[in-house]
Amino acid sequence: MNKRTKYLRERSLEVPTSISHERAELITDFYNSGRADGKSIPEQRALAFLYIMENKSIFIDANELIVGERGEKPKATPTYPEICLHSKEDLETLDSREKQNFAVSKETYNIFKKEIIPFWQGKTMRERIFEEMTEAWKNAYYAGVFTEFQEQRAPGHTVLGKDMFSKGFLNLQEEIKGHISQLNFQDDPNALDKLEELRAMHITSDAIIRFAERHADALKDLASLEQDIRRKKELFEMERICRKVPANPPNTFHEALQHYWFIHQGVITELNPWDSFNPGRLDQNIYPFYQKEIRAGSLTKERAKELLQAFWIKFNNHPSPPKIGVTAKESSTYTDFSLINLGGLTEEGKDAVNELTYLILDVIEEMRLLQPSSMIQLSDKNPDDFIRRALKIIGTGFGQPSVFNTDAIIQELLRQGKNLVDARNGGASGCVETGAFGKESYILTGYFNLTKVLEITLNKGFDPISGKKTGLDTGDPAEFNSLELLMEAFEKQLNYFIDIKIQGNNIIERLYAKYLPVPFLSLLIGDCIKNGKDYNAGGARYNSSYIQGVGTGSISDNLAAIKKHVFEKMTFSFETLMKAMKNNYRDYEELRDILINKTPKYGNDDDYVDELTRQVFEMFFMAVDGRPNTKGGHFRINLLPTTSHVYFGSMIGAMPDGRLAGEPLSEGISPVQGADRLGPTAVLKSAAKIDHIKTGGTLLNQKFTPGFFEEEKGIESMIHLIRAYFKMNGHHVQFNVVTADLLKKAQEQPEQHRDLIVRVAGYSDYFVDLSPELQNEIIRRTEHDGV
Amino acid sequence: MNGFVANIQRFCIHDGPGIRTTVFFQGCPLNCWWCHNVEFIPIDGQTTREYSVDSLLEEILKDRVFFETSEGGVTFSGGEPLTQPHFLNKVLKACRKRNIHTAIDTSGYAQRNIMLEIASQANLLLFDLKLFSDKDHIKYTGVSNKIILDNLIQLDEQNYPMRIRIPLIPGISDQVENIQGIIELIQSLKNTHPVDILPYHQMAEEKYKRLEIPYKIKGARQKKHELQKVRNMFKKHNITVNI
Repeated sequence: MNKRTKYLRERSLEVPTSISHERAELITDFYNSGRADGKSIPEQRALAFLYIMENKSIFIDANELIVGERGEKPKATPTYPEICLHSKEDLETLDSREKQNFAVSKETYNIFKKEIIPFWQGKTMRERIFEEMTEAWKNAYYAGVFTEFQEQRAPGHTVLGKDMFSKGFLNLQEEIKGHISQLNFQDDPNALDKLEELRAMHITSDAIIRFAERHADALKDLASLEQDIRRKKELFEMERICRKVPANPPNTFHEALQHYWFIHQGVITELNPWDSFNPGRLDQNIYPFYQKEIRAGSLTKERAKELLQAFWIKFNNHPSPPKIGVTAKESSTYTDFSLINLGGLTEEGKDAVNELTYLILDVIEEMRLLQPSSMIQLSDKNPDDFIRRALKIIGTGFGQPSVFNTDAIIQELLRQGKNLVDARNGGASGCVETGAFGKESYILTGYFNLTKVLEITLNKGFDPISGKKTGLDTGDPAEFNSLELLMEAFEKQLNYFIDIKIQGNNIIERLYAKYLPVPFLSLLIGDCIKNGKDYNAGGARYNSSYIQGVGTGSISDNLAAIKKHVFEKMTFSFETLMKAMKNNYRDYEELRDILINKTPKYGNDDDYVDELTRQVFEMFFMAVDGRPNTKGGHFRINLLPTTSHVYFGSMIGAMPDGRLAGEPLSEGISPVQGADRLGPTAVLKSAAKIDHIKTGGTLLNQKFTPGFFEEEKGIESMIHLIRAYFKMNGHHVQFNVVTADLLKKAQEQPEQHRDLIVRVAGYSDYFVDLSPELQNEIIRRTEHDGV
Repeated sequence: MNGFVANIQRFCIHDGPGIRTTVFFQGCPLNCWWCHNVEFIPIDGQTTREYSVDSLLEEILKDRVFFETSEGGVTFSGGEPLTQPHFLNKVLKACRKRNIHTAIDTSGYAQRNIMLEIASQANLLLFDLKLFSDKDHIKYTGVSNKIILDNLIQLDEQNYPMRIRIPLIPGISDQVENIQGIIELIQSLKNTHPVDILPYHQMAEEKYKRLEIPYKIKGARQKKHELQKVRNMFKKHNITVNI
């Protein structure tokens, strides 16, 4: 790492995260000014975006190579009052809370009080959503049956495809004009809607071009005043680049990175979409520029690396927008889930690993930053050398990169009806979510608490925590004489809650489609321009809505415990079990010991319990998959938790697997913490018994001690382990490589371990930034590995 | 015909090529001072389970997909697997039928005909060489090494694939005379066999404490330079060793 990179990296690490009121103030000004009056909603949104891009402050750091900040300085994070308005109390919480803290200045408090809160109160999407939801929905939501992704953040969950690396916004404006000229007002009843949307798209292209020009102007000033000749030349070159991209397609490596970064800024400023945005298959998308310039001699490997490192720092400067309430609990992290994809296959189906892939891996290893996240796509066709290099980085223990099965991802996309080229150009984003990059809107709508559904089933439709009737009365399990009857009741209950969730989703999707279109994002994802339709309204080529199942291990172990001890061995009666649970196993320690130690557990390659996993998986799949959403697409499932397994666990009492009230659930498709006792092959076998191809992603966490990565045989075995899991169609696996001892030390002395990064669930995070519950959970996971 | 198995451990990476499942047989005629699996020495143990050939094969086959990707397989260890030769023989044949690679981790202490019969069924032998001096061998393992060395020479004579494994116990098997003797023995063999040196680590100490069995080499530690010294001795004789 050279001096400049070191400086930028340090700065990015040191600068505190803060709330920037600039965007909120600008958008309030805009709507107050009357500029929006009389315009269609898409045009209003586009003009608001233009207003922000024309007026927001421009920040350029002394040593920067890639420019563009969302706030007025690194880590200054805007808010989006049109979706979620932060009250004074919310700001105080953000300002004072220990984890994921955002500093709030006096000025910000004032502006919120005087301008922002009075204007937006009663007009936000969040309020609208809660107004439209039914009692049943609210009961389930507040009981922790599911979460709602769109209550504070916009739909997004998408990735830039490769097409946009050979197009500029002036090209897009030509396309827009072409489509406007072809609108058929005689036969197409939607022609006016299309016209409004296309006009809005045109305005947002102007906005991003304007934003780049403003950087060019600022760079010109800086260059003119610069004393250092080398830097002066560099600044003039950067000025040139900002006048060229993103208006025009990039031609050089530097231009390509800056081009993407302006696009990224646009997406995360227009609204606050989940999973921010993502350059996707980075080693593929910018390889042509790299190759061309290396050959021509206009770029050295060192310079390419320096530029990539500058690019990395930009991601790290952009924490996730502030979250509060349940949303903060389900995704308790600064990470904003830009997941860089490396490797995989070309659209012709060939090994895509190239020289740049390895260079980017070097960058990941050296930068060791929280953001962007990184992953490798591993196909059967990729060389072992590629995964070996990645494992060496994984072995250093900061949870990156994670490892994905390209061949499974392609099958998943094909099953959902994507064409082969789109499937091969796809990958995974966010934590583990499968998508056709550049062509698909694939929205996560909320986590779904499978274990809570069982708890409600066991309690005849009541939520034992609140005492409220939250679900259906599916009969008294004490009167069931077989597990099959309990499974039937569980399935009814599951379908009931899925119906509620989907009904809510369909309303929320339409609210965003009608009131918060995203004409800028729509420019980027095919075929929104062609369809003259917004990304949020179904303009994309493919439209999927996901419900994310949580706690695969927990639900399996609970059912296995009931099956074995209540129905088969009759170790104790259902009433006794319920009593013990109600008592949180106080005075029932022996019974709990049987439940924990003498019961089959998921993760041990034991068909007794894994068959139950499979059954629950199929039930969940049948309840969700293929149901129509409002965008001409379908609902799908995936299995991942971010941090919702901790939140969901806090909403559930003691359960039949011996878990105490309030403790976290298992995460992703990993076994319950400490339940897997036969080593990694058994875990992988259990995890592979569900049909991953029917999902849009599953998340498996594996822990290893650092020693394992120190010897060659360890690394080689890891390669085989992963290859075998992928042969069984496993979707993804990630590794935590730290000792429990070190984590405990970090818990005691956080200030000395600020840089300790661990894998949480589909993303990495600073250990000291995690909640104590999550810290303990990770220590438990890790300790088990040491045995 | 059933076998008595103390433990089955999956994902073993140090007992032969690739990813392996190691089956620990119950019972061993030796009584090495440093034994890591001291609870597997008696004929019956707390964790002992009886397996039929089919039920053991079923367990082994569970990790087949990992054997296939890694060119691994199953290793029979113990205890001493050759104390249950008929059962072992049947299991080896069953594995052969399913194309599962097999390795035998043995002390070499077995009747010659049994040793050769098992060797003819297995794909690889992991042959332990502990102490060259018979006197020391009796002292530290409880049995003479005559049969063991004899078996080694016979197996080599008949060209069975082998890896020679030397557990390096501080103050016992890591002494210059012992290593010198072993080196001479290895050099006298017809074939070149890979040699593994197994460094000492005190993990067993805890186990002895837990099982309330006196640990005769309590506090023994191996220094890096001692390990290096042994490696150099082999190197001088042009024998490459894996540590």
